[in-house]
Amino acid sequence: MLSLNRVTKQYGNFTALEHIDLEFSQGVYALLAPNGAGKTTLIKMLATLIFPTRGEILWHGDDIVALDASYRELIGYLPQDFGYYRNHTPREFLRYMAAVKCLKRDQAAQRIDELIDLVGLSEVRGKKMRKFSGGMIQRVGIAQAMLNNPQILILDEPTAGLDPKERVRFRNLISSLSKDRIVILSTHIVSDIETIAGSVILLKDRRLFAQDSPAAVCATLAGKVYETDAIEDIRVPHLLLTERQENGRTVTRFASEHDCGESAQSVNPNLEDVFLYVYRDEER
Amino acid sequence: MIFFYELKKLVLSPLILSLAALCVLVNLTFLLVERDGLEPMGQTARPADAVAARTVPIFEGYRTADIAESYIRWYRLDGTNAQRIRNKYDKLQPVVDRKAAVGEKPPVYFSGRMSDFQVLLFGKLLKFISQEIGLLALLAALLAAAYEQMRGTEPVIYASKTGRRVQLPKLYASLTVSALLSVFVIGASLLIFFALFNFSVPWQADVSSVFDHALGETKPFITWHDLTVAEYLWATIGIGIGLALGCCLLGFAAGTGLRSAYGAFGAAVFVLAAFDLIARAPFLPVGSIFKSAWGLNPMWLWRNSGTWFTDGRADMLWANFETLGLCAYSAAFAAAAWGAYHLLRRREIH
Repeated sequence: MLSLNRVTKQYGNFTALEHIDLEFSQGVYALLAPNGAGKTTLIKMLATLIFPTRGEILWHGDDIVALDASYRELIGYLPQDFGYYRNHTPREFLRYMAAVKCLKRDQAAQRIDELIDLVGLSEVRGKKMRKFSGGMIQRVGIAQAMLNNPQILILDEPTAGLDPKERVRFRNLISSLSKDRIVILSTHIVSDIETIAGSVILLKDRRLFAQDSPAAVCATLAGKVYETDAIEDIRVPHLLLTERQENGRTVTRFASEHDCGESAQSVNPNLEDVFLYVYRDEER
Repeated sequence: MIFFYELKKLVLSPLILSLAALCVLVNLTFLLVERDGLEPMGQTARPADAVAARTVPIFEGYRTADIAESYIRWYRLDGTNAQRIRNKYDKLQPVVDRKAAVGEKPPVYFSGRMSDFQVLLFGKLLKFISQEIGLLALLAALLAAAYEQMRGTEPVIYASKTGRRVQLPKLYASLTVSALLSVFVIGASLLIFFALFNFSVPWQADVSSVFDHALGETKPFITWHDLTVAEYLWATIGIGIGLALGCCLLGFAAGTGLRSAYGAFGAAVFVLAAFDLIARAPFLPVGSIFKSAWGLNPMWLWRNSGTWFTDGRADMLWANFETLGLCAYSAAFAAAAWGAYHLLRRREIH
C-alpha cells in the first residue's frame, strides 16, 4: 500500500500542492487535472525526484525517502518529457537502464527482448532512436519503466504527443500491465483513462478534490447533464460542455443545477463532463 | 557494470576523441616548427669525446646563498620575506654539498645545446602536454557529470534503484578516461618528439649533471632529490597526470554541483583563471607565505612545470612544492566533488 499523508509541496511562497491524502493499492489510478494543477509535482514526489515540504509518502508504513533504493527498485517511471540517448538503439538504451536498475545481465537480456516485443518495437530494435516517432519513443519509455517489473508504475502524461491510433494502443498496453501492480497515470486527456482507470483522482486548487471510481465520479453529476438542439431556448443558468453536429443539427451538451424541463434531454454524464464541470473556472 | 557503460560513453564521445587527437596534432605542429629552428646536431655525434674535454665540477664550492641574494636584490626584498628566501636556500645547501661530494658536473653531451632540448622537452612540450591533458580531463569529467542532464535522462535514471548514486561510477569512469587520455597524448607526443629529435642523453645520469642550467636562468639545475634523467621525465609525467586527475575532480564537482553544463564549464574555467590571475597579482609579494601557498595551485604549477622538483625560484618557499600542490589541490577538488555529490543526493530534480 502506497499512501500520502497530508503531503504539501511548496516552492518558496508558492504552494503547488496542499494537504494531499491518498491511498493506492492494486489497479490503475488516473490523476486528472488541467495543466498546472500539480499533477507532475505529485508524480515527481512519488518518483522521489522532489520531496514533500510537509507530510510524508509511505510504502507499507515506511517513508519512501528513507527507504531510498529499496523503494526505487519497486517503481517504474515514465516522465512527461522522456529523455533518451538519440544515438542508441532501443536495446542499447534498455541495457543501460537495466544496469542502473541493478538487474542481472542474463535476466535483463531476456526481459529486454520480452518488452521490446510487448511494446511492438521488434522490427526497429536495432535502429538508432533518433529516427523514431514520438509514439515509438513513448513505447521505449514504457519499456524502460517496465524493465524491473515494478510494483508501482508511474506514468506522467504518457499519451502527450501521440496520434489517436498510438493512444489507443498505449491505453491497451497500460490496461494489460495493470494486473498485480499499482499504475498511477497522470493526464489531462479524459479519453485516455475513461475505460482503463479503476480510480480517478481530481486535483483542484492545489488540493485533492475527489477520488473515486469513474462511475462514482460521474454519478456526482447525475441529473445535471443535458443535451439539446435548441440551446437558445434554455432559460436557466447552465454551463456549455460540448457541441456536435448530428443530422444537420447542432446538439449542445450542457450542465445545469436547475431542471430544464422538456426543452432538453437529461443524459448520463461522462468523465469529460465532470472534468469540464469541475474545472469550469480554470483557464482552458 | 554501470562503470563500463559510463566508460563507453566517454571513450566513444566524438568531442573527447577529437580534442585528444587535436592535442597530438598541435604538439606535432609545434615540434615541427621547433625542429626547423634548431641548429644541426654536428659535434654531438661523439658525446664521449666532449665529456672528456669539457667536464667542469660546478657544484664544488657552490653557495646557494648566492641564489637567495640574487633573488632578494632582483625583487628588492627585505625583512621577513627576504629572510624566508634565505632560509629556503640555506636548506638547499646540503643538497648541493652532497652533489659536489659525488662529483656532479655540468653536461657537455650536447656542447651547449642540451639547454635547447631541455627547454624544448621539459620547459615547453611537457608544459603544453600537462595543460592539454588537464583540459581534456576537465572536459571528460564535465561531460560525464552532466551527461544525463544534457540529454534529459536524469528523471528516469534518478528514479531507478541506483538513483543519484549513478554519479559515482561516472566519477570513476571520468578518472579512468582522464588517465587513458593522458597516456595517449603523452605517449603520442613523446613518440613524435623522440622521432624528430636525436635526444640521446645518458638516461641514467643525474639530471643535475645532464642539464646545463635551470630553465631560463644561469644557476645550475638543482633538484631536491637525486633524480636520473629518466626518473625526472617519469616524475614530470606523473605530476602532469596527477594534475589532470585533479582537474577531473574539479570538473566533476562543477558538473555535479551546477545544474547547467555550460555554467559548470564556465565555473571550472573561472576557478582556474582566478588561480592564475591572483597568482600574478601585485598584492602577493615574493617571499610571503601566501604567495608561496597560492602558487601551489594547478595553474601556477602548469606555468612553471620546468621548475618542478627544483627550488621553484623565489616564488616557492618549500621543497617538493609540486608534490605538495598536487596533493593539496587533489584533496581540495576531491572534497568539492564529494560535497557536490552529496548536494545532488539531496537536490530536487525539476
